[in-house]
Amino acid sequence: MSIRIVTDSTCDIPRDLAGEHGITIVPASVFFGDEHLLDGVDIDSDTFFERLARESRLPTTSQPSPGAFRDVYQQLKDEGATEILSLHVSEKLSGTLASARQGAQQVEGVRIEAVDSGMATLALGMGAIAAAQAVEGGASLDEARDRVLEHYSRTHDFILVDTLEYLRRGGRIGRAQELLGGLMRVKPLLSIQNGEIVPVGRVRTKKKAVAEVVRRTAALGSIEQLAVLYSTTPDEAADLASRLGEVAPGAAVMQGQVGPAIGVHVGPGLLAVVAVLSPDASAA
Amino acid sequence: MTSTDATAPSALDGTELRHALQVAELWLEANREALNAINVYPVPDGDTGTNMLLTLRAANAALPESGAAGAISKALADAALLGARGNSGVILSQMLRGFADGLEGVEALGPAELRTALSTASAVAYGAVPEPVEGTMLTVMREAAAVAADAAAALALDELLAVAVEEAEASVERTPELLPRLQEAGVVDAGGQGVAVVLAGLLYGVRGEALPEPPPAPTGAVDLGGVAHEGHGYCVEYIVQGQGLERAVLATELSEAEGESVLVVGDPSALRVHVHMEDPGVALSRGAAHGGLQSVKVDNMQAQHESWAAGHEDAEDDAAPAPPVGLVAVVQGPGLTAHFRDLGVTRIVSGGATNNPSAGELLEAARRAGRDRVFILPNDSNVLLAAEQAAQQEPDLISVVPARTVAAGLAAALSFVPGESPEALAQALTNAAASARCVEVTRAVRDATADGVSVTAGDAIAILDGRLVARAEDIDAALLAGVSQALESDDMLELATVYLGVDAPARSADRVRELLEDAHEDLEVEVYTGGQPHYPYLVSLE
Repeated sequence: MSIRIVTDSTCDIPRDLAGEHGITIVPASVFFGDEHLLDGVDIDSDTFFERLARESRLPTTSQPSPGAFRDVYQQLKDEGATEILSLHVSEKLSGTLASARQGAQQVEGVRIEAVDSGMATLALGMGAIAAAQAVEGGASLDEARDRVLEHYSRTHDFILVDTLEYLRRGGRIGRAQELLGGLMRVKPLLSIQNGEIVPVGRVRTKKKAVAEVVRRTAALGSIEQLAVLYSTTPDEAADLASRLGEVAPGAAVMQGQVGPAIGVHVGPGLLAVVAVLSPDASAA
Repeated sequence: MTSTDATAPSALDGTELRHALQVAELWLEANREALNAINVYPVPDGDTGTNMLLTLRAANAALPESGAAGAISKALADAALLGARGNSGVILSQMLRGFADGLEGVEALGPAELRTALSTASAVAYGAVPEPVEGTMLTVMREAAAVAADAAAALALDELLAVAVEEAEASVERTPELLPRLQEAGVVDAGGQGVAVVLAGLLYGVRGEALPEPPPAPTGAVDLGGVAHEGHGYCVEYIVQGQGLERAVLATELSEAEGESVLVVGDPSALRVHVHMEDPGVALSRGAAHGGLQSVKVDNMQAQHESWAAGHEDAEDDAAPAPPVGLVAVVQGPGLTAHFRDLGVTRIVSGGATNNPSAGELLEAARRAGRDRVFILPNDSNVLLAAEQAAQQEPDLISVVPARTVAAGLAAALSFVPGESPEALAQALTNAAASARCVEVTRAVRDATADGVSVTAGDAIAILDGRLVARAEDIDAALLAGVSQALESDDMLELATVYLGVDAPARSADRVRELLEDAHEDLEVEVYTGGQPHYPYLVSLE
């Protein structure tokens, strides 16, 4: 029995970490006009955000094709995989999962379980790592899938964007639309809940917004793992991570940068926190 | 008031009690301006007399022609609950509630019943105020009730009431000893005085005595916003600027031109005018003959009245179904109103510091604002109690967010996220309201000392979260002083949002932004047109 873990590039797991855990990442596509770039393969985050600031036309994204998934699954099978757990960005935000399922149908002789994480970025990615660890620990495919779904049930996130404009233009704004300020400049605070982007608050300034994220994170309860993400402001992320370390001592804190595919939809200035609660805390 | 009228009844039946209450209303009306004038703050937020009068008037209007004294007082209390406006009106309504509790099942109000009713009036009023402050109407009622309770058992009803009135008046005189703020300002407590006036009015009614001449309202202390806007025609307000302006001359001219509710205040260089007239053009031309007109405001009172009767709502609003969770904000000024709406407020009730909506109006707005839960943002400390009174009528529907300033209300509205649970929202709105800092800039309407700052009528002043913190030569300097004080007290503040009022000088936006940014380089400044009355500048700091 050989079980492999697959995810997509919206997981924002750094390449080396993915390699360490034997996780295969299928890249989404980013387009600047007709120019087609594979997320994280043809373009890295810093290059992407530089171009985003420079170019007048907004880039767009596209999920990996069914063929891309088919090729990845086929290759893993050829390498000896008998089972594949394929974890993907929320079905309500992207058609990636449907692509994965179609790709899976075209590969025979391997059991492929494609799962909707209901998450995005490192919330998705941390679950993929947990799944890989479960497999490393000898879990079966079903056990690993149950483990990761339980992990996702303990995962919370807060997303702070400088502007809702990128989410709006990319068609991902959802109910966060309610926060679109007309007269006043506001900083919206968002979260992904039940697979959707929902508004959780709004404040006037980034300083207040960060304080609100710290407060809400601390209020979640006992935290096992934390991740702090940024798009263009690593210093702000480092500052946020150290403040979170104070309110959640003992939690492992990861820091990461969102990739181009996520970047298209959140824009510059993003800060996000992913918090995975301790199993006992979320049961309470 | 020590002589006993031979015709005074030994006990009041419902009809006689109703009559006494009507006399009390008349006496309160006669004293209205005098009560309005004795505000502890030298800012135009004192309408104690108006609020108490409108509350008692609403209560009396609901009384049946006759019935048992208990039934009359119950009808009185029920109507007062919804008619209450302003903090003093709400406390008065609670006194009437207690008065009615003490008379439950009573056929006629005799001396024994009066002792009980005064005691319960005091007790219920105390119970309604979360943190009772002495030296206020609570004290006056308590002391009057206590003296009545201890008075000789043989006293007739009117004699007993006279004892209570005498003690109430003595208690009013003692209020400055209990409230330093009153002592600083050199006044007695207006609400306490109002209680004494109501009790005295009842006594006039019981004895069938003619009402004496009311005390004159101190000039220069009249609060324009406290004037009830009744009747038809137009309400015209403006400022005349010039030299050697004569207040009395213009006031007389306006009265001779058949202006009503004429008020002219100010000094020889600037007069502020308020008048009701059938032809607003006449009101304006009389003023223009004396100097240049500024801050002209003309309201059609009939239209105002109609929109008021319609619940201050646009027809468009009424067509929209109420959302599950709604938000009601009490706000004045088109710009501020637009900002509150923009943040998701479902119902606006027009009002503020000097135009306090009644509990009934807030209740009505709340019922239309949301289906499951409605939060009221009072946005003024004088509206808070009326909002709480409205909430008591529908405790499952209405929660009051303790927003005492417009800035607190804006902060709360900002934190309003429709999808959240009502419990989470209640917490979030309350926290947000508490975090906001508000600087209000206006002009003192009288000489006074408050919070350790001495001001002269006409001085520009800055109020930080309800405390007078600075006086200055002009409103720009007061703005800067107030904002600077706020920044000194809280280093988290990084954004000042300035709302320009109707009285703000023309083309203020750039000047105000530069003024604040030059003085505080780390401060971000946004300037919007608020259109609010009384406060040329209103600043929300966060």
